[in-house]
Amino acid sequence: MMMPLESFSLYVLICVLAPLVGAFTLSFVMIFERQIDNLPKEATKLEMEKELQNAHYDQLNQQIQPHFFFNTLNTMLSLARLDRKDELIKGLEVMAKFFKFKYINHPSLIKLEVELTYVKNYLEIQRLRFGERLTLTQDIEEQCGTSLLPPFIIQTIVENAFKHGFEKYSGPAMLRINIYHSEGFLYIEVWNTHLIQPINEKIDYKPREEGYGIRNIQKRLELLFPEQVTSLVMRHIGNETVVEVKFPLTK
Amino acid sequence: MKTYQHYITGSLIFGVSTGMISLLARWITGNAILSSPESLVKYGLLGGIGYSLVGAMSIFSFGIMATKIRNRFPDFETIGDLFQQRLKKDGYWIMTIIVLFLGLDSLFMQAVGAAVLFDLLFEIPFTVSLFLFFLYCFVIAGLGGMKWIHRFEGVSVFFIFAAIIFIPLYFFIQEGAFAVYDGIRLYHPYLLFTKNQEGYLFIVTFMLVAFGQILTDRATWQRLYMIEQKKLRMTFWSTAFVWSTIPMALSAMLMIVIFDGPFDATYSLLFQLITKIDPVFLSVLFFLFFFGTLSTTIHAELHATTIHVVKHIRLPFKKGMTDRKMRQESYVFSGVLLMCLLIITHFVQFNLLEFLFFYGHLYAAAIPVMLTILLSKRVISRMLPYSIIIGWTLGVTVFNEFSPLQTIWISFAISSFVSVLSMLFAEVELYVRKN
Repeated sequence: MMMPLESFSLYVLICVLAPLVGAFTLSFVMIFERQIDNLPKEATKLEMEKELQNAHYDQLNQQIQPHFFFNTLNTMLSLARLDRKDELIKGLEVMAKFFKFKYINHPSLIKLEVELTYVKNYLEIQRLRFGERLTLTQDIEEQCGTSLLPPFIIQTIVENAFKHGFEKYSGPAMLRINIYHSEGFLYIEVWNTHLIQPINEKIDYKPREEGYGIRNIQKRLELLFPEQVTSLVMRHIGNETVVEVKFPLTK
Repeated sequence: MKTYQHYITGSLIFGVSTGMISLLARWITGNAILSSPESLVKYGLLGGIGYSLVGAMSIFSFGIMATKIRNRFPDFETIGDLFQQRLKKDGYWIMTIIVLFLGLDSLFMQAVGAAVLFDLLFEIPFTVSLFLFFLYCFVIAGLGGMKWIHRFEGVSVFFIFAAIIFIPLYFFIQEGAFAVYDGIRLYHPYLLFTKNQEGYLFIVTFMLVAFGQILTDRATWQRLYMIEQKKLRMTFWSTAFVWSTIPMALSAMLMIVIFDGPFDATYSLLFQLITKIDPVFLSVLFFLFFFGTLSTTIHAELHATTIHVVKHIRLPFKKGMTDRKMRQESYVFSGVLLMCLLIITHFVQFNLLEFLFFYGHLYAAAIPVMLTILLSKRVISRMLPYSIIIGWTLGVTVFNEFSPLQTIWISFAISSFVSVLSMLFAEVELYVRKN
């Protein structure tokens, strides 16, 4: 059957208008791509802020355990009674710095050296409590100092080592922190000399539950580096527990 | 001196819009200009719509696979990297040479398009105009690399759309659809018959061929690794939609050329539109349309083919090549390739249909092999790439009593069969070795 004039006219109309539709689509994508891009980014940002707040809350309410606080105060009191003024001043100083860092608001990424200063303050307090029982080894690649990471990552893992390892079991408390980079990734390893129960990947831990802090780190890494390789592994090697965190190196 | 990786990617990362522009610049080609008249004339108005569908579906299908490919093979730059990882020894070399051969097909089509255009437009011998055109392509793509190619893509796509919007609109407003309809009914009434069984076979067959073409296209593979991963699917799908509007505009332009009389050669029909355009503005736009179409495709293909040769054919023989040396070899090879094309266009007798079907068999036969390489989780058999040669040779030579459209399917079927056989053989080989 031969095509009638009406159908032909319609065919021509479609053919003539088609490139207009194509050009319009292309222009639309060009103009609005950035805005469309920002929609999921906004959602991720909100979720990230929420997770950061959770981490902050966790830091403020869960992990400043009363017994840590009172033990530290008792240590200070003993130092005062023994008239060891220099050590007392140093102890109060690091405690002030430690709490100051806890109570300020943090961006979603901070420099590794800032996080390490915070961890150092915490370890100074613990050194007052544990004395010679605590041995600390650090092996940190110099170039990694300026790389960025979500706040409280190392702190949470180190606190975990004390809470579930050194404070529960007697004997030497050996803590080793290794930080290095390789093939575009930053690796953080925290080793301790006690066997800690690994967290269950499938369980979504609630605040104040054991394992919540570690799961929170995982979540924040996934949000910060979507569709990129990140991992948090806790495993036993010999008599030691190692927590290894891997995420893209960001400067 | 910048690294060879910079020459390949231009250190660019594409979003949806820039990725679309780059893919459109690659896929709005001389092939569409030369072969869309053929499809219109042979299969009527259905052929025009069919051509749109064919291109769009192939780009769309590749978009479906794009994310999977990037997830499974995240660190590649070119299609040759895939062969290097998945194929061994003679299997690697056969696929690399076939892909090079397919690249030359695309470049040759653009060169023929440019020769026809310049011959029609300028008073000077087309050897001179073609030489100048190739010199321009050499400077941008051969010397400049991806960074310079991308600089010209946006402008070309702009002119392409300006031309295909303004020219048909101008003519149909001036002539009216009735005059065109009347002319076509008088001179080419066969175009107006919609019941055309072969037309459907044409659409389905060329969908297969076009999918084979995009699956083995070096330039598309490069862009696959330059587009942001999460935007891959959206970029390919949007490109498919926008691309589909172009052959429709071309068929409107073709009707303007043929409605007032008979014609001789089909492949140069679109170029003859220049003789009908009076306003200088539209003539300039028309020239820029063809110039943009042909040059951006040559840029993309020349660049991709050069990299394919230097990185995947030269480098395995000369392992210690520095980045500087690889760049120098790329300059030399792209220059030599364009010179060869210039000479070939003068001497080869070109028959568009034979040429299209010749390569059509090859593209169809390449599909099962490429899909096996991409999707199979087994060790790839060394025999696998031979399926393309077997499927293609048998399809072209043995089944003479069938039409070319049918033999393309035969090539595809034979290649699929041999691919399955070779993979079965690979499994047995592995089994024997394990025990």
